[in-house]
Amino acid sequence: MTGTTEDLRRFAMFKTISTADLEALARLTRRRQIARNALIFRRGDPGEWMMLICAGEARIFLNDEQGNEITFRTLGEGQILGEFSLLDHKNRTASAAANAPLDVLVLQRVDFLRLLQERPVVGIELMRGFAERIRYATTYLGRLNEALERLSNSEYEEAIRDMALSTDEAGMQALINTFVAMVHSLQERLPSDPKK
Amino acid sequence: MTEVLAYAIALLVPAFAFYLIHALDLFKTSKATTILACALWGALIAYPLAMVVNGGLHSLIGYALVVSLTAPLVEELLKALVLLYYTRQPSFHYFVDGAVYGFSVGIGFAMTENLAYVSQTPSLALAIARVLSTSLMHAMASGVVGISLGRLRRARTPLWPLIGIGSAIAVHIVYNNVVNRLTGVSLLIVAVTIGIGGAALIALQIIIGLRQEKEQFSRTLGLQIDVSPGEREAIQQLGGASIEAILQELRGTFGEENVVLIRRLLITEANIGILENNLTLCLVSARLRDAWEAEIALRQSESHTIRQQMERSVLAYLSNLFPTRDKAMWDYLQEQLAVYDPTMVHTFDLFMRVSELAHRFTPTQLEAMAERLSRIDIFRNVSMADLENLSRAIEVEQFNDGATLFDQGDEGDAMYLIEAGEIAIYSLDSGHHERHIRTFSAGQVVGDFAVLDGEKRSARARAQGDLSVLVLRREVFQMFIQSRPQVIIAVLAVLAERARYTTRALEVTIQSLSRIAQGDYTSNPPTVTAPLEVPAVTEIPADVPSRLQRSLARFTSLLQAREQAVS
Repeated sequence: MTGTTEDLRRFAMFKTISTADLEALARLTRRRQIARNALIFRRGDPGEWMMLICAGEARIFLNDEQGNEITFRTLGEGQILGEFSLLDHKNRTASAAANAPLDVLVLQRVDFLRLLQERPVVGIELMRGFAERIRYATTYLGRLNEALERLSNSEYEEAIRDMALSTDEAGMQALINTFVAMVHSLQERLPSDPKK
Repeated sequence: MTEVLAYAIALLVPAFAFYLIHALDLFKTSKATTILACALWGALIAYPLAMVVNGGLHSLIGYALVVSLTAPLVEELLKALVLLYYTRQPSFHYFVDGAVYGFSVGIGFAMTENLAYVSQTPSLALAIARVLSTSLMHAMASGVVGISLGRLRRARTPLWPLIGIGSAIAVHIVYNNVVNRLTGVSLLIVAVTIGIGGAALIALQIIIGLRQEKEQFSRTLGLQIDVSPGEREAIQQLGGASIEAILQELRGTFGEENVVLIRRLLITEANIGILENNLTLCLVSARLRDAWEAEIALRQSESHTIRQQMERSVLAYLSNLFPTRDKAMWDYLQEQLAVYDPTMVHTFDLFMRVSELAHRFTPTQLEAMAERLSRIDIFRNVSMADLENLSRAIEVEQFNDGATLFDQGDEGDAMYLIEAGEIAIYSLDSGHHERHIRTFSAGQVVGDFAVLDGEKRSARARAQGDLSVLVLRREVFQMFIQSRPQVIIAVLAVLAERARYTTRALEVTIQSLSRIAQGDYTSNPPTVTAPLEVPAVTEIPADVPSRLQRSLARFTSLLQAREQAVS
């Protein structure tokens, strides 16, 4: 069974794609159910497809030297697993498994590249989306770097002011929220600069 | 035995004619059910009705006059009734279908007439001659009537269609007057003559009909000479709407599936034409010429594949409508397609043909510029031929010391590759005071992401020292890539790699921050592996994540020391 345009509309990556192009894309997807705890891919596997999560939760993890799993990201509804491999054709850099039963749409790399050949507009929109993501992430990480300088001088309020701009990008908002929470906890623990 | 053979011939010859229509796949647009209905009408309704009317007239005006004059008229009119009905249906679009329906009525009619004739004259030789000639005559006469009625729907004047119907009746009259006086070979000669003559009449109708359709489409495209310049301009201002109008009309005739193919074929042919013009008109390196020639070959095989998927009737129609030798028509069609469907047409190359940007660089200069572009990160996977093609649109600009290239908040409309001098970047505070952020020097690039996403400039850029830059406008770049998916995919691969890296860095940073918030300074922070390939020239610094990781490590040890001091 294939996905629908309504399914695809829930993913930020496709937010600017036209309905006709989205229909063509939807026809290429295959719906899959993945059981809880099932391994989705292993680090080093070739990246031949990406997975759009319609329901459920997946975790991305690495194993440390002792073999312990270190989860560093969970993905849920509306998020995509493996979209970078689809385009740069690099092997998986981490492993992924299902935390909860997953309802996903799978898109194969070959199908996706064929779609880009037939509908270059889709590629242009994705290009724009990726460029924005890199730009935003780099800007905020750079800003955080400066904010850390201020924190080193215990300029808590200034650091928050520099960093805490609202954004509609979920990843960036998480960074800002975590940062603000961290500054507040530091303010409690280290209320004043010992040098002052 | 002879009798059985005679009956078999009476039925099999017309049946073979049906098979031919089907096997040649000549007129795929017509409907099988309509063909059947027409044949049944001819065999079961028109023939018996004609017998009744002929019989009635027989007693009024005598046998001779019926055979030589009224029977042809009555029979043609009765056969034509069903054609009149079908050619008036909303689903009837393509006038050539009228001929197919006409054949069917005629052959159906001839089948019944043959059976009646053979039942009276069980002579094999006569049966063969008679069956062949009658079948051909009825089929051709009704075929001509059918195509004439079909054209009556679209033709501006009913003159030609009426001549067609008149000549069909005339042929029938002539046939009836000679058929009973002839036997054997001479009858066969007459039959063949009627067959060829009828086929020629139909062909003539198709040619005239197609020519008129072509005139109509040319008018839609604004190509017709008898259209005044003012009218032509008005039509051109509609831009791609005219192509849309033509495709819309073809959709009614040939159906959506064929129109999709027609559209793809037109675009492929247009791109071949554009690339051929490139080869004749543009002075470029051998490498780029080879690339163009390779693409022409690829597109030609694409065009061949599309043609194979098309029905023969559509192809015949198209080659009349858009003959490959009509270069003016194709050049114009290219421009129209570029407006109507800019995503697949090589609009960039069309633009370079008419733009003042064309012919400013020698092939050697173009190659050198392509080489420079290839060092920019986002272009590192793009082929040198594509980069050289793109280089044709590069502008060389000079700025005096201190001059502004763009201001904070401006549209991100261009990329600047520094040849000589420096670009200083300033952010503006609320009081519009400049705060220096960075300086870019020769070989570096500013705005590489702007050509991709068009984001508003986040800072001001000014020349520091006398500045010389290669400028690539976003508009031109987008025009270039829109019909070149291989370039898009090459850029996407680089972007995906970088997006993967920055996304991972973001996640790791969030984890580090929450660990610090919990006062956990001990556990090892997860590391982010930098992309394997060292990023080439880019405005968006690729080393931000690694710098941040170092800062976080320093910050953590600072906090640790401070907390120990407090406790």
